[in-house]
Amino acid sequence: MLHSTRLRAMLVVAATLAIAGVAAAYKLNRWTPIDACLCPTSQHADATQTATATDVPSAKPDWVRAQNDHSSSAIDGQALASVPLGRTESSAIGKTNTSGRSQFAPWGNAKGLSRMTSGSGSAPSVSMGGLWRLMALNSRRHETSATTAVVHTEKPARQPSSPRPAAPPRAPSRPGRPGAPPAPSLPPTTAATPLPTSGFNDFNLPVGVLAGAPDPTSGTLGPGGGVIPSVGGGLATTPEPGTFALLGTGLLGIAGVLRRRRRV
Amino acid sequence: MTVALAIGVVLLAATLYANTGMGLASEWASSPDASYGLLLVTVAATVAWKRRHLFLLAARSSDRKQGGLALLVLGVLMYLAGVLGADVFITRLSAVAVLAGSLWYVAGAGAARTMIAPLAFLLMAIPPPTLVVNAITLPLQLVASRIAEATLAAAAFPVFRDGNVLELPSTTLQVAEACSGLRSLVSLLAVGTVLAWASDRSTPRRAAIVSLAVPVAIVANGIRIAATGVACETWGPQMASGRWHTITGWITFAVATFVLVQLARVITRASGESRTVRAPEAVGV
Repeated sequence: MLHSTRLRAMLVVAATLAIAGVAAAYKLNRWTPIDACLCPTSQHADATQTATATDVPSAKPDWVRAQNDHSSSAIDGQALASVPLGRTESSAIGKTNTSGRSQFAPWGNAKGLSRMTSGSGSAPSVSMGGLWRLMALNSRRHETSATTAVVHTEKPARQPSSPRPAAPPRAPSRPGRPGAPPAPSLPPTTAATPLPTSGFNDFNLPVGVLAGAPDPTSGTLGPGGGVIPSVGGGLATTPEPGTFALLGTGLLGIAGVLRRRRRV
Repeated sequence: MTVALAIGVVLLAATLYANTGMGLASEWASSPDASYGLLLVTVAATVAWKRRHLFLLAARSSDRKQGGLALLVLGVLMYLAGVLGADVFITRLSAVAVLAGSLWYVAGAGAARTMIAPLAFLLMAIPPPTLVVNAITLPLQLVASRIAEATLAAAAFPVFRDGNVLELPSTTLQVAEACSGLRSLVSLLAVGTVLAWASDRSTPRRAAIVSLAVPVAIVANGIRIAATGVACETWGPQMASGRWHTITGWITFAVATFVLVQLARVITRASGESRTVRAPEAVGV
């Protein structure tokens, strides 16, 4: 009786562990975090969606796809990007797609526009204008990066394997294809040309310095090429020994005390 | 059949927690803040081995097991939450919960009770999360600075404290994050747990012994910093670094352990009961 009970308990434990392992493996393989890019540029959103759909075609459930579907989203990012700072976005947010099931909208579905200026935590308010302005700056940076990527990935001219008739000389500026939208007038960029800085590029502090690491730009050059950080004037720290040594010392002391007690 | 199934369960659990275990072992081996875990795991294994006869004896009687199933399911849910939420601490905690729940469900509550001490040591071997460490490090730094300032002033050494920086005539001591006393606090808590388990039987007295480790460790760290300041003023600023400094840390922790043992002895003597065979002086003879 006891034996069978124990066997059954072991089977239950094994089944529970197996279910946990399978669930974790399934979720880790199938579930990907929601694309949290808040860039309001429709071009960037399409690129992200295309890449995701190519990588995992049937991995994401419908609700995740609906959240990534910025092209049919309720909010027109370009329109919001042009809203000046401090202005209420009631007109822009008001473009909610009310057809069919509820679509994804950041900060919740704004069902009542009166909440938008109430300052509640879940509803957009006047202060969101600053956030949208920041996102507009970010979108410009994305546009510039995309242009640079095109310049970088331009393929070199292939050598023809067989002699071909000479092609007529091409015009230096190619006209646009029929039906294609006119190309935006962006400044010419080359590989050596630095990117135009947006509001986010003005601070070039390394992350390591922000995280508390010594500034690699200060100090002297060491023998191996590394930087020896300069020591602050007379400032000495008082670190403790490692916990291994401390606990080892304590356990040895306790062992001695217990042994002495038992001997007596 | 039972043995084969037990081996299968162990292998399944090992597969489930392989990555977690490797990460934990790597942190124990590489981080001075978490290296105490290696010793605690060794202590847990030793205690579990010594108690195996008690465990097997208690496992012969079938008693309440449903709580073990609840604990096992809770541990599995914690595992899933930790893995999917990328929270290492919860995943590590779930390993102990799954182990405790499995023991309880398979062997019974009485058998699982004999393994409470090793499970507690395993639980303590898990390094605290960064959120907690960051939250308590700065207060510990300030408290240690204040204690060191008061001690130096009481010893007639001129000192000026600016936050966590102690200005002395010959040098300036900074009580940095590594000097906050968190290492000695964690280590002394572990020592206190082992001491409480080994020297007393009453749960309130055990809790009192473990709780006393906190003030003892904090005060000892402040005195350690003050001693470093005194050594700098007496023999020069080079005493704040190097071998002398390491030896000072060891000596201070040994003194703190001695104080904790004496406090535990006082508590045990006041109650008039002890689990182990005590020395004559321990019972006031």
